[in-house]
Amino acid sequence: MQRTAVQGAPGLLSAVTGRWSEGAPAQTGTHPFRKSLAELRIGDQLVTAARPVTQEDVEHFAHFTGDTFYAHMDSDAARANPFFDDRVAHGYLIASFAAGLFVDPAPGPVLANYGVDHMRFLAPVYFGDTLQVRLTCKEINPRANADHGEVRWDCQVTKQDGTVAAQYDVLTMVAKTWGQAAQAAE
Amino acid sequence: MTMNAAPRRLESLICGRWTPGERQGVPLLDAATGALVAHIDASGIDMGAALDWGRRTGGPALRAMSFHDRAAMLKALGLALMARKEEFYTESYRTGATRADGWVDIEGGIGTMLTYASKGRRELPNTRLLTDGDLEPLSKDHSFSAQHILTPLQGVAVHINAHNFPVWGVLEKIAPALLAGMPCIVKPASQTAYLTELVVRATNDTGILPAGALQLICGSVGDLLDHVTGQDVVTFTGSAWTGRTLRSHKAIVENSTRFTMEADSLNASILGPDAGPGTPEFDLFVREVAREMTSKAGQKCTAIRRVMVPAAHIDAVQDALALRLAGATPGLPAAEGTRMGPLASLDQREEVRARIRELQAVAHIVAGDPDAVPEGLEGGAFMAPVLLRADDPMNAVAVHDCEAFGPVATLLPYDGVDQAVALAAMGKGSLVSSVFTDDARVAEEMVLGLAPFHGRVMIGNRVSAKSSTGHGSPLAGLVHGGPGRAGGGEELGGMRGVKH
Repeated sequence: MQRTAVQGAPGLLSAVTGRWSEGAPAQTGTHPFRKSLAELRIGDQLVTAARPVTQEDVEHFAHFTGDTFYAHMDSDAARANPFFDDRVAHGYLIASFAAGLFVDPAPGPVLANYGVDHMRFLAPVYFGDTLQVRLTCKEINPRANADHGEVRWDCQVTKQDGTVAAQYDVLTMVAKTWGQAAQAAE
Repeated sequence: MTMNAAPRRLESLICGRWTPGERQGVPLLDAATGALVAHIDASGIDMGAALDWGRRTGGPALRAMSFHDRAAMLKALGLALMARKEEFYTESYRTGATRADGWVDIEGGIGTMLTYASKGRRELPNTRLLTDGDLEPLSKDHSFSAQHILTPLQGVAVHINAHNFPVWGVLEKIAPALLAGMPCIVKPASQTAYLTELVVRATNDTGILPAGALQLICGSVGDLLDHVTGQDVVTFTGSAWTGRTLRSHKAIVENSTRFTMEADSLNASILGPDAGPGTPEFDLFVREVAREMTSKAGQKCTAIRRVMVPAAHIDAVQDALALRLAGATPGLPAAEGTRMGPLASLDQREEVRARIRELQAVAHIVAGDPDAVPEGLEGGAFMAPVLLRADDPMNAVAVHDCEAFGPVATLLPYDGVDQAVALAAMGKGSLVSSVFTDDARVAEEMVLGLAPFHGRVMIGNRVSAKSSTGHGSPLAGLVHGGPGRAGGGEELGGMRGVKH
């Protein structure tokens, strides 16, 4: 195959590649988790409400999961760490809160979350910081011989000042169709 | 047994039609019996028209499909061929291959196609172009960015293959090419082309591939290469000399036609300094060397040609190998219990004998007689395994330079890991080498030294004794190819084989 570098405005690159990228147009409206592959489009986007992270949240998560690493539990020890100014939230807590912010809980066309790609925690989250998620449909890959396909979502978690706290791709299986008829057939 | 069919007149599949050559052509003989199997000739075929047919008919049809569509097509074809495998085995015996040899060629080839089918489904998107890597932002405000993409070339992939794997050789090349969306023209080596022709007939019968996606030339390619363009791809498997000639062909040079080559390779297997007699690694090494020498009668591009052993253990290895090889007398390929069949042809045997004479300038035979012919098998190209030994390996130039494409290998003593690596590098680039060691330091030093000269390095020890796929097996997911003398090309290697 021929490898070609294509340069242009992200919206036009998305038209070529079928993959949404930062800077390409996005559209909000119906929660994208309510859309089957028949309705879902590249660039469908959800911007969630914001949620604060408290000391109680972090301690609860630490004891609940068993991850009591000192950077989450011990102020003096955390400050001695070259990356932190104080105790920080767990990266997995950030990802968990993010999921709590972006999911739409009722049964719907999103069938399963089968993984994440390229997860990076880019800035420390301190007690009192507030998290918000921007979730954008990045790539849709319908399967030829199944009633579902894979959807890759760009997930960006930001703090109150716009700093990106975490960035990753969320991978889901989404039904090709969903509606009264599909539900009645079950 | 193999006295079934009357001699066939092989035909080429060109522009959708089975086409005989204008002349009766060259006779092809059963490797074991000398009986006439087929005649081969491709004279009078319009090679420019064949390329054009592939470009105009096969290419657009394949490019209209998504990667998943093409993967599904390969799966259907692989399963259809697997259902007819016994026909291929019957014909395969005539090439000199035993049932076990045929398994590598036939089921190994179909398996490679099926692996590409499932990897294509899993690892590629259901689209017609691939993105390669992440978006490159080129502006602060995200208004100008870049993305690498991969699209199928609009020419034909021309595959010129060797005689030793008439089935695998075709399928391992067309599977990634078809998945990429390129039509193919296959030219098998004449000697065993009757088996390739049978497989292509079976493929064509299924109707699974779109018209123009696969063409076959049985006989000389004639002026085919004069007509290649910058959108075509040419791959070659065979001798370094022929490869160099093709690579410098005028049209290939002038059009910068992509040329991939897999040629002679003087693969080494190295016994680690830690692996003396009595260790599991010693036994594994001896078994692997003997297997590589006798499998396909040593006619594998990955076969072990240079057997490197710590000087202190060379007599022990020689004795153990000689004992094993003594049990591998050649016999009729279809007969029960035959461990090694004949070479592909009498000409091939003459060629191997000549190479052995070259090796004898710097090495002496310690097991086997290249001129001995088993009684009652005088009509076939039989040759017993021949083990040589060169006691001054750093000066034994021929051993590092001359490939005897048969059941032939040379023992070389070495002194220290550095010298083993230096000796391996004297092969000037190989497809594969193996190291048998249970010492982590030896493994690290050897691999670091060997890797720049090899496409693949296999480490053998007691842990992987049962699960190892062995020195000689190219796998769909791993690189097959090597630098320098080995041709400089890369095949397979998973999706890299599709993308290049």
